[in-house]
Amino acid sequence: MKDRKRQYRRYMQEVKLIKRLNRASLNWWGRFTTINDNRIAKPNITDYIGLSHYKLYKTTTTTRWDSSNKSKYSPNRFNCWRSDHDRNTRESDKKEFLNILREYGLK
Amino acid sequence: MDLNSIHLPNDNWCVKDKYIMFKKLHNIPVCYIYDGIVYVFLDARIAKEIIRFTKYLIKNELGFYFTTPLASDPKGVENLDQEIIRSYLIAHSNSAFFYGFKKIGFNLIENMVQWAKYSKTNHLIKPMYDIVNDRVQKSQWNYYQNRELYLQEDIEIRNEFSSLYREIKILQIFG
Repeated sequence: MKDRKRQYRRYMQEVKLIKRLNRASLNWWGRFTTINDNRIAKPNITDYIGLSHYKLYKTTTTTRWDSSNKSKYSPNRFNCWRSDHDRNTRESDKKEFLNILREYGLK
Repeated sequence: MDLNSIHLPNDNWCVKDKYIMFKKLHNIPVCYIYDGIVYVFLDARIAKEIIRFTKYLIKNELGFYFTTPLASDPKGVENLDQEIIRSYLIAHSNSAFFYGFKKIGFNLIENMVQWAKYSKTNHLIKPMYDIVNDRVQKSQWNYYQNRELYLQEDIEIRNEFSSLYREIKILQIFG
């Protein structure tokens, strides 16, 4: 079998994402507010972009047994909600540092 | 002026019907031309591309205004002028647009005032500003964390909005 490259894998991920978003949009009941703050009656798959749904439906874990519980891309990306204190990443540290600077009026 | 005369950076961009589109899951409209003026959709879904496209328009000295993403709907929009001004202000409260336009040195509010003058809708700015400002300054006291939580988390945007109407008035008089 021909070896699959990164571009193909990205394409397949997008196909999966579209399938999930499509299913979600078909089952949507009620009004929908987009990221542009426009209320629409029935959402398309593109209306989910920028909202929490879009992140939620992305595949962020691997299928292999030894790494299925790890996050796939970076420690900043999760499927579920976690507080900033639990992360201990460079980005959260930077955010905290900026808040301290603002508190003392240095930024 | 024609849509085909605009340079498209890569394969994700295409011209379809009367719109230039950008592909993100599906084709999302970026702009159209009417009466020799380019109308760009202020769509936060593709904020990075909109900012890049604005930079291109400024560089080539093409006249342009922004419009609401609802205008691409073939069904049409009620109160289009009102919606356009609202989308200008909503985009200004969006952090991606706020810092993105700041970086390229473009004043979105000045463009809004120019558009209002062009379409004779200056009287719609104040009521739309009141609605969006209320939304930006909205806060709630959180008893568990013992602090005030704002709908718009960025303090810089909130401060900007509190004195924005004064800036609009100055631009209307001297701009």
